[in-house]
Amino acid sequence: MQQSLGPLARALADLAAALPHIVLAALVLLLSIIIAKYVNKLIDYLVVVSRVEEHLSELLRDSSLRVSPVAKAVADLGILAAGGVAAISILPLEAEAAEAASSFVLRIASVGLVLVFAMVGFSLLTRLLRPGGRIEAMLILTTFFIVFAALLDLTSLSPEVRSALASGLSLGLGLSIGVLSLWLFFGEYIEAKLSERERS
Amino acid sequence: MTSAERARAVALIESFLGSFYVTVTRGLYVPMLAYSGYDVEEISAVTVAAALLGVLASYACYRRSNEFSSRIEAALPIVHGLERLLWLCLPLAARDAFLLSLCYSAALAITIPVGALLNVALFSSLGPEAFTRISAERAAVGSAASILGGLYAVEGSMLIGRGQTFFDLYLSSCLVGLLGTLSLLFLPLGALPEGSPVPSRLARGEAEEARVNVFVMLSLMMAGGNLLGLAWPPLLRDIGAPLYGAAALSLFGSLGGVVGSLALRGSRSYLLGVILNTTLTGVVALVRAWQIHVTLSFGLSATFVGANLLAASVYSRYVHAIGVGRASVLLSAANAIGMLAAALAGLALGSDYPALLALSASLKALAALVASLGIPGASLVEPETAREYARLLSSASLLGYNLAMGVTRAVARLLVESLALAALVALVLLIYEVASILAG
Repeated sequence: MQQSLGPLARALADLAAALPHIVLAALVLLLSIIIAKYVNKLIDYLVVVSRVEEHLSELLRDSSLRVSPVAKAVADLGILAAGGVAAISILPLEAEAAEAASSFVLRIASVGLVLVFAMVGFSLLTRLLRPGGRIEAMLILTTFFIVFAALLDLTSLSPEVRSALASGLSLGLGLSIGVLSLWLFFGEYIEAKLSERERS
Repeated sequence: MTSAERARAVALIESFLGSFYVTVTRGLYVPMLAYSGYDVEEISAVTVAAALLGVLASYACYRRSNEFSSRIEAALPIVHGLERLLWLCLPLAARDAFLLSLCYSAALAITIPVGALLNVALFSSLGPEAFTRISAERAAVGSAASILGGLYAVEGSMLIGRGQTFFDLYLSSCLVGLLGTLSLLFLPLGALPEGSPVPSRLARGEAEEARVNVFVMLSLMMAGGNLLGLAWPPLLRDIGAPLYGAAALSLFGSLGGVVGSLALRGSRSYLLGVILNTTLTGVVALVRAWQIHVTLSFGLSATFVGANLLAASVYSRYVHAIGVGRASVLLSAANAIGMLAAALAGLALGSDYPALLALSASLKALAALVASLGIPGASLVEPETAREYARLLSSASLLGYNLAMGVTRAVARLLVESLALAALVALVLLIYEVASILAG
């Protein structure tokens, strides 16, 4: 009995020793969320004062552009990443584990950033080009692939599997872009040739 | 002593004490900066900043002219005394350029409400009719006091470095100025001449034209006068005037002020003064003998009074339609605008005195043109024609004003927007900077 309870008691003792650190780390995380909330308000105010949305709408001839969600997303990611790293540094972890954890947090943030910029790029492209159904679908697919490749970087898969997946993704991405451009630039020509052959 | 006599006595005493203090503090300002090791560009930059603030202060006072003229009993002595104390700070602030420009700007900006409040108080205690007459007398007494002030400043500055400091001179003149503040407490304040209940549309239109044209005329004259002041010292140096030439110039200038204020009577003679002043300014560049320059300085000061008195007389005639607060602010604001224009021109042209003199003469010629065509009661043409010219001139000036205000507003808005955008970008960068520092 005593023997089987030993590891549990040790774990509980460890936890009790770490408890102040954990509470402090949670506080830091909470604080970063509160800061993010106020920063969001500040960003809203600055966007309104700078009239950057109006100026961009004039430039791109589109009145539905929103800058503040993007700015807020970027700022929130930064604040949460900073909060996360700070919380990790408070926790009583070993140096290596702490470094690994904080680099993981930073990688999540950077994937989030890539995601935000991919979305912005995608939405800008669709606004500027106003492509019809199929090309838009293609753009969504491409964006999804790129984001998926970034997410792949976060996983703890073995390097072989990860590189196989990544090369497969990029191959597929390249192929689909190639086929799309072929169809985009030579589609009409191919169609004309085909209908010519059918007639003859 | 009736209250009118008392008001006149207080007005004259204040002018005497105030002019002494103004002559010493303003006259010693540039020598003090030169003594403290500032060069011409730094002095000009400080002046431009201060003049800009003065113009802004005038605009703010003009927009709120009714508010501050309603609380004049308390406001006048406080602001009047504060001005003297602010000027006292200048010798203490001279060690640091930033502190100095801050102090000088504040000291110069506060002269606008002081001048305006003083005018309101004099308007209200003297009445519009006596106002112009007493203004002339005040100018004469003030010029006499400025002779004394000039002598005091010259004598005092000779002792600088021999146990005497600029602060001593500023302190003594400040105390004299504060005596003037004290005298204001005895000024019997009458009821303010409010805007008359229903001014006819014709009267209101005429008042509006008079307001704009007189303001334009006075600002142009002030700019021309300030430019002349910038150009004269290098000119004198070039023609080989002795060192006491500059002192003689200022002494005879003050004497001219006394004579001019007493000699000029009536709108026509004021107008004559403005035209003669323009002519004399044109002559300055042609004369090579410094003795004649001294005479010119006498004539220029004597005739320059005409511009001030013309403005005072027109504003007191239309004070019912313009409003006493606004009329007073306009009288003080023209000086600030003239000073800003002169400081900017001085910064652009440097000590190229032929160009400065030409600019000064052209500005005064414009002022003389506005005065002789567009100011009701003084103009040289038939009253009917004068009305037409007045309307034309005032609408042209208003158009220019509106354009300038529009451009200024657009620039200010753009500045605020750019600052907000920069703050946004800086905020995001700061967040990532903090994150990267935390991550090591």
